[in-house]
This record gives sequence, structure tokens and C-alpha cells, in this order.
Amino acid sequence: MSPIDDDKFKKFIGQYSSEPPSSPSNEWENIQSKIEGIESKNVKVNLWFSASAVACLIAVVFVSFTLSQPKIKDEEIASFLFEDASSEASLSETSEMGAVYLSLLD
Amino acid sequence: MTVIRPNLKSWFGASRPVDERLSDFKGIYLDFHQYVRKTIFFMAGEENLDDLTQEVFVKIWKHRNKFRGQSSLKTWVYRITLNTTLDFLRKHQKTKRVDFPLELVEAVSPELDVKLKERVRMGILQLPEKQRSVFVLYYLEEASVSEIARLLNVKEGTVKSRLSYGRTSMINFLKAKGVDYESY
Repeated sequence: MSPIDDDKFKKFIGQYSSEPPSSPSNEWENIQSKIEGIESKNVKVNLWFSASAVACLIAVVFVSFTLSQPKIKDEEIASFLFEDASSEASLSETSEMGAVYLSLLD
Repeated sequence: MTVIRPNLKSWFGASRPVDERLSDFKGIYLDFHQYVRKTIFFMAGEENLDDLTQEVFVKIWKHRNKFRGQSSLKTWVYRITLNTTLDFLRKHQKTKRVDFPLELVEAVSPELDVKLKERVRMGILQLPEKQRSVFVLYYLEEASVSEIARLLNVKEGTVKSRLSYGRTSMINFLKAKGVDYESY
């Protein structure tokens, strides 16, 4: 078998390689429209993420604000709840009720 | 000499309106669309040429920020074209050799030159996928062995080997169809 003359083969392929059919006249318009679709979708996704991020931020701020508030002691709640009762009931009754409340909390 | 262009991002930075960026991108389309179409035409045939060409340019747009200017823009566009075409072929299981009946060629191509061109195209399309991509890049796009090796991420020896098998297979195909390249 004779060796292949690559230059000749290359020339032959170059000479007899057909050209692809020319582009459709609206090819660029089609590409452009697809890209615009992608960009518009990206904008919507970005807006959605931004809105989610803002919502998360608000939630975090709210939670941290709530947690940073000074904690009201149980005794203070009890005294607040039974303050009025003490004027009408006897002191011992109030103390008993307060003790029951505190035991429930425990 | 191939000009290595800067990051595409700088051509159509995100802060600019889409219309302006698309106008810049049209320049890239005009520079490369013939070349993209030619590669797809010889790799995947005519049937899906238009759809695949559009897909390639949409991918170039989507991935423009990934272009770092380390290779030429042409190489980068080539890689996207080739990968898109190969993905398509794999997805549609068109990687196997296809035998074309010569009668079909005779029927549609009355003139000698046209017949020959059809035979060459069919010869290329019957090559296995790996040989075909190397063959198209080397003989039709005139890329060098080292460029092809970089593009396909394989060793130069592999490119030479695929090229040699592809060339032999092509010559045998043409001979079987009664064409001897040395006579032309």
C-alpha cells in the first residue's frame, strides 16, 4: 500500500468539502429572542432572591430584637397578676395563690 | 497571529443595558457563525444545523463570564461548538457510523463535483465521533495538531493517531465509492 500524501489529501478534502447551507435570515433574531428570554428570567429570579433575602433579614432582626429584650422574671409576673387580688383577698390567700402559680411554672 | 481578547465581561459588563450587550454580542455572532455552522454541518449533518447553531450562541452568551482569555476566543467558541454537538450526538445516539447508499447520492447529485462533495461529506459523517472531530478540525478548520490537542484536552499523540485512523478510513470509504483522491 502506497503511503498517504497528506498534502494532496488535504487539498482534495478542502476542494471537495461542501459548504453548509447559508444561515436562515432570522437566525440572529431567534438567538436574540432566546437570550432576552433568559435575561428576563434571570431578572425575575434575582428579584425573587432579593425579596427572600430582605424577608430573611427582617425575620432575623425581629428575632434578635425580641431576644435582646430583658427577661421578665416569673416572680414579677406573679406579683403583677395577683396585685389586684391582694387588695380584695387576704395576704395569706394571695401568697398561696402565688405559690401555686410558681409551682405550676416549675 | 491570534489575538487574545480580554474577558468578555468587559465587553458587555453587567451594568450595561441588555440591548447594548446584545449589540456587542452580535459582533461575535457575525465573526463566528459561519465557522460554527461548518463544524456542526460536518459533525452532525444538516438536519439539526439551525437549532444547534442557535444553541451554541445561547451557550456562549450564558457562559461568557467563564471566558478568561487564557485561550483565544476562537478556541473557546470551538470548544463550546464541539461539546454542544457531541452532547447532541450522544443524546440522540448518532455516534455510530452511518452507511449512506450511493444510489441516494447519485439520485440527488447529478453533477460530478456535487457528487464528490456529497461523498466527502458522507465519508466524514461515517467516521466514529472521536476521529470525526479531529478530522473536521484538522482538514476543514485547518487547526494544528497542538491546537486540537489543547481543544480536546488530549495528548498530541492521541490526535495524530485519531487523525491517521480517520484518514485511512476516509480513503477506504472513498475508494469503495469509486473515488481515488490521488487522481484529483
